[in-house]
Amino acid sequence: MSTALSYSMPDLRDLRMLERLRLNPRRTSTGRQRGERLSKAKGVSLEFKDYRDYSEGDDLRHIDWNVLARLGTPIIKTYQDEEDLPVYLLVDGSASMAYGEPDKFRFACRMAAAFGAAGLSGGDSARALVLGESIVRTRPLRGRRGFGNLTSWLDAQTPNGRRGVAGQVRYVAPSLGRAGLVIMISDAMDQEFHRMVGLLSGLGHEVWVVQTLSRFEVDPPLEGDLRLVDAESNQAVEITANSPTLELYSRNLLSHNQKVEQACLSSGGRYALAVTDQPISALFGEVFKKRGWVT
Amino acid sequence: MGDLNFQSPTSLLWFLPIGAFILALYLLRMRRRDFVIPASFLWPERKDEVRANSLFQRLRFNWLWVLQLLALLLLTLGLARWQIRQSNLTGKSTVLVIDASASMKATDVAPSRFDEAVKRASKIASAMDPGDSIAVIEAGATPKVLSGLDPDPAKVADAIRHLRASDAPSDIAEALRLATALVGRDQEAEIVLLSDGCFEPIDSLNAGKSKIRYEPVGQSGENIGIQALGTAQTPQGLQAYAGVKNYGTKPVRTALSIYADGRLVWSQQLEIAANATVGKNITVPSRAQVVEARLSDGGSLPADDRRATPGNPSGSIRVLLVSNGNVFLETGLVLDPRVVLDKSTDVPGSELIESPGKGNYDLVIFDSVPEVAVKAPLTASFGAPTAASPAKGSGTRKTPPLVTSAGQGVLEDVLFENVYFDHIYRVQPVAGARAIAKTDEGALVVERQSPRRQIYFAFDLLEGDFPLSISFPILIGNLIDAAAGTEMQGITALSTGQNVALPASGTDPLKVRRPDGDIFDIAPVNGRYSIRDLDEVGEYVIGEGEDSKRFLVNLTSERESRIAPESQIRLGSGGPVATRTIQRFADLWKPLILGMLALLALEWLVFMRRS
Repeated sequence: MSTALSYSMPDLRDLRMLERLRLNPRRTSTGRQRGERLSKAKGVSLEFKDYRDYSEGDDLRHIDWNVLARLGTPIIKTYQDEEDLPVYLLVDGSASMAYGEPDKFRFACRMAAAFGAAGLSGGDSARALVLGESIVRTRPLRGRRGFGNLTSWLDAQTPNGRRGVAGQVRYVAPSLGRAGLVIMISDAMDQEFHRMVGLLSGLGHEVWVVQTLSRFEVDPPLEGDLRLVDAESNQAVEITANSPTLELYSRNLLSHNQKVEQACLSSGGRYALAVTDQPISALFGEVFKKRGWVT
Repeated sequence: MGDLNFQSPTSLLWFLPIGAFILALYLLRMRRRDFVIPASFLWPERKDEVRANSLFQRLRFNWLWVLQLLALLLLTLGLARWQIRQSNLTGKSTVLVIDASASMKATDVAPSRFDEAVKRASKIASAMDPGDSIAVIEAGATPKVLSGLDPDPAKVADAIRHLRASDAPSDIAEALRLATALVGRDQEAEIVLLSDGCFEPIDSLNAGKSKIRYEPVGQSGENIGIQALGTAQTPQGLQAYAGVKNYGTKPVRTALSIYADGRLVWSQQLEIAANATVGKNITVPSRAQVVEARLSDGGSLPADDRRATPGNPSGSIRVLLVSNGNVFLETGLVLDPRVVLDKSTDVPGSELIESPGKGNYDLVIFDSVPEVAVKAPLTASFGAPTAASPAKGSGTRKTPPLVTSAGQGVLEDVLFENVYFDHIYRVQPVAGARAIAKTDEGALVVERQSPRRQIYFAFDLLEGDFPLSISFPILIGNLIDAAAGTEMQGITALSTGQNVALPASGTDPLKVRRPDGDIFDIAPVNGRYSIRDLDEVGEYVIGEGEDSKRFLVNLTSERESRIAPESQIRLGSGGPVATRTIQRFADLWKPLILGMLALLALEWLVFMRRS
């Protein structure tokens, strides 16, 4: 595995920690290739599931000879099939993600790489998409070799989208492929974001949303009379940044975040708020692991 | 504007441009700093514009500009020197004359009229502006200037604290003259008389250019007092007469009690109609030294609820005036309450030296009536000398005499300079007599000490202007003092406010014990002890041991007992003195500035809460 200098690449210690983790979706899914994850489909694997009577065409290797010798009846052992989990890493590439220090997009890329490391090392297939002005995506990646490709691909991306992230998701969702785990890393600064969660869930995906905000957005240090310009739509709002205004903003933000969280939870997904000044390893260790996102 | 005024109304015009400027700041649109944010939909449109602007916009309500305009309004009102008419504020120079007479001790105003007057004086003093001066005069029997015109409020307050009421009538006229003299020609000066108006009419007073303001004190005129108390030896024994008068407008009940040397000997409930007097004759023990009458409920003035008199009726000075009529002498003599005056055109036979028995008079005055030898221990005669006179001679002279006087004894402080005599008698002292005042041609006043003390004056009182001179009442007083000093009893009744002069044999100070027990020393001056502070009802003891004399001091002024407050007073021939509180304008800039500061603080609070 490459450890070349990359802002998306976790440091070695974090990488080892991430490689020991496994993504833990609430639902199981059917993969195309055998992986380390249990599939709903019964089949040939190491994980025993049940017995059944032998029928013509069954693989003789799966006849339980001990039972046949005792009962004289051929009994076939069936196994839980272990398949790969399609993991879709959706990174918000809209212009608003360029905001913050460090900027939210780079933080989101590191977050996507970290989830990718956990997924790929667990045998899942991963595919990254950046939803910017246009939608760019990787081919399905597999194994630890795919992790290097993922980080180098992420390093090459920039946030440039002037379209709302919800619109881009709505556009790309039908083409994602088989149902899997969608990890959406975005600031969710779109009034339609919660609808996007419902759309993805409706397509059979389990949706995890990591809302990525800068410290500035959580607690804006504004004062005085300002003209606030929207980074994506260029719409302006004139405000006097005083206590009442900031309190109103905080209430609006909380309400919006709760709407997104509610959409995730009601669709069987997960939601977490990450602030860009938090270390990724700490988020995995103290938030995602404790909440059961990873095991 | 009536009670409001602006000293500089043009300053109000400043409100318009400055107010317009403040409003213009709110009319201008604000130049806001652009700030790029991730999303604008979370931010509310909320503008509280308080700073610089560029383009005009609609004026929106904002508490900040309201408060700023209010603060500006207060500031311009202060600059315009907004004034309000206020009472109890004095002029530049103010003399507070506080009536300290007996009637001011009336308690119809709690705690007393005097305390109320002192309170008002303090209020006036506390309203002093910097640069104002206040003088304080205590108008008692002898007016005192407790503080001259002084700009120091502490000194004025200290003087007011030292004000003391007495049981004596006050000399308001003299107090006002003093006040007038203090302010001089100051046209802005004001004399404030804090009084109940219970004083004798003031016939003549020239207040100059100063304004006199009368602040009446008191509410009720209900009072009863002992109007008279005397004793007399009668065939039935020693009798006391007590008269009680109701000065009020309602009938009252009261208990009159008579004490002999402190022991109750008689008491009775009296019903007294409004403005009526009830008199009672009571037999008292013949050996009683002091007879005292007391009222159990004498109304609101306690000073006239008790009166004491010597049990021996000879305690007073009995004077016989032998005259064909002399209003000057009669007036001068009756002014002294010690004097019991009898008048006659000739000497009663019982008083002649050759008649048996003791004489009834302490002093006999021959006023241009031939002097005869009498039993009285002191005689004074005016006019032609006789064989009984201590001088002899004949003829008169008309040329103005050049008088030299010893200035002692009965002639102390008596001056003959500038006195016009139509004629004087040419006399010389007889053997045993001496001239105590001389002219260039002989004696003017002759004195003989024995066998009886005789004073002879070589002129007729009505043949010159001596009775009109200031020396005349002094001479009468000296004669009465001389009579009192020679034969005065150990107990004497006096009126509050009177002065007592006693001959001094040495230079030792004399101890005086007041009714309240305080003891003070009096040093002799020119061979006499002068006690001037007999202003409290009760018994004064002067001297110590067997030589001590007791003075029973009573409030005898009916004017003081008639305590109904006067709503207005007149001074001389002028109109009534102003009783309406004189008002002046007082600047309001201090409260205006304070209000402005409070508004700015409020504006700061509003701004801080918003930001």
